[in-house]
Amino acid sequence: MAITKKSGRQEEIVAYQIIDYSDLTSLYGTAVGVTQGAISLPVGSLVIGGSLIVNTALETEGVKAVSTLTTSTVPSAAQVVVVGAQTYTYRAALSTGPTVPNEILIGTEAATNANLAAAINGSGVAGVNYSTGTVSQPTVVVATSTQHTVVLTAYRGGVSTVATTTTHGAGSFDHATLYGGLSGADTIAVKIGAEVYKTAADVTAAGIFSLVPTGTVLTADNTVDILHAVAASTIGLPIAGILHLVVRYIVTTREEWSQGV
Amino acid sequence: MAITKSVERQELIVARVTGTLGTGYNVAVQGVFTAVEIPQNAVVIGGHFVVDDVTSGSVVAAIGDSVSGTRYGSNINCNALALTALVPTGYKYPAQSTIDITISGATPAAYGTFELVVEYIIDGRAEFSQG
Repeated sequence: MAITKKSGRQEEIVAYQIIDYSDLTSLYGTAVGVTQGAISLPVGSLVIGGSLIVNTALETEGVKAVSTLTTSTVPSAAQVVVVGAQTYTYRAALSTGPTVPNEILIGTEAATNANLAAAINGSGVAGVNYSTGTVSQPTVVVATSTQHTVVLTAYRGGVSTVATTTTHGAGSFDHATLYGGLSGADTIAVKIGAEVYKTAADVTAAGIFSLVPTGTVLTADNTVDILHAVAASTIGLPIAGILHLVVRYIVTTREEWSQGV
Repeated sequence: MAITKSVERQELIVARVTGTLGTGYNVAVQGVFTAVEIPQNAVVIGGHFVVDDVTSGSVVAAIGDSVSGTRYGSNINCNALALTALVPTGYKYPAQSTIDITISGATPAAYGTFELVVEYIIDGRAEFSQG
């Protein structure tokens, strides 16, 4: 028996969906992955290709690394705190004529810690709390400062290599580098129901991933879903990224014209 | 916030151009040759470059545009019969542009032929709704 040739023809249909990071659900404290519908397809659809395009790398705010300076009294003059490439020097009086950047004025214990925090954050008053010319830290902020503690956190989530050391005579850091950071490590998979058209792809860098057709014809209306997953349930909000999802499909019952016999 | 699903659907647009290589033909020297006009907001999602008849050795082609001459493919040997798939990048054209073929490596002296097929969509184009 021969093949019964079909004369029905149709043009390929393309669905194009731009997904901004703000369209994605926060995963903080809920789950490491959330599925969202992206494109609706009618019964009879057969996906024949497409792609997931990472135009701008997706970034989800991860866990910020932390290091805490704990003190019991004020430091002595000339003792230092090192944060990354910056060395801060404690002084009983700030240098003048010329001023020397990165000096921290020693006051009470609480005031000294607050002055260090102000220098790191670029807050407070230059020339009063810390020396004029001091530049704020680009990758670290002080979350809190008290009489006995200065808590430094990374500006963004992820593993940190920023050093935190000191020669403070009555103080020390709990970690020599910012500790406990975790990146979002975002991945996105493309699915229809349980059927996978693209396995979890690393979307933390720009790139393009082809969808792999499965040959399944939809037996009911359905949606093309994206499964956004991150490294851990402690990961927070998506904060950057633009994705394009292109789905190329036909509908098996659709005939726009005839060709052949 | 959830994804706002677009119900806009469009059919794929395909542009095809053929050309000849070699002295006295379409492409006789090295350089950039415009091949396909594409409109604002176009996004190339596929296509291919086929060498149907080989030209002289060391002639290579790249497929791109005026911003990136290798956006969709590079170093395609025009001295070998082959189909090379274009690699989509997701780039959306902010203004009307052209898909260009850049010939380099050597001057195509011998007769040869090629075919360029560009598959693209236009962001915002809706021929019908679905979903």
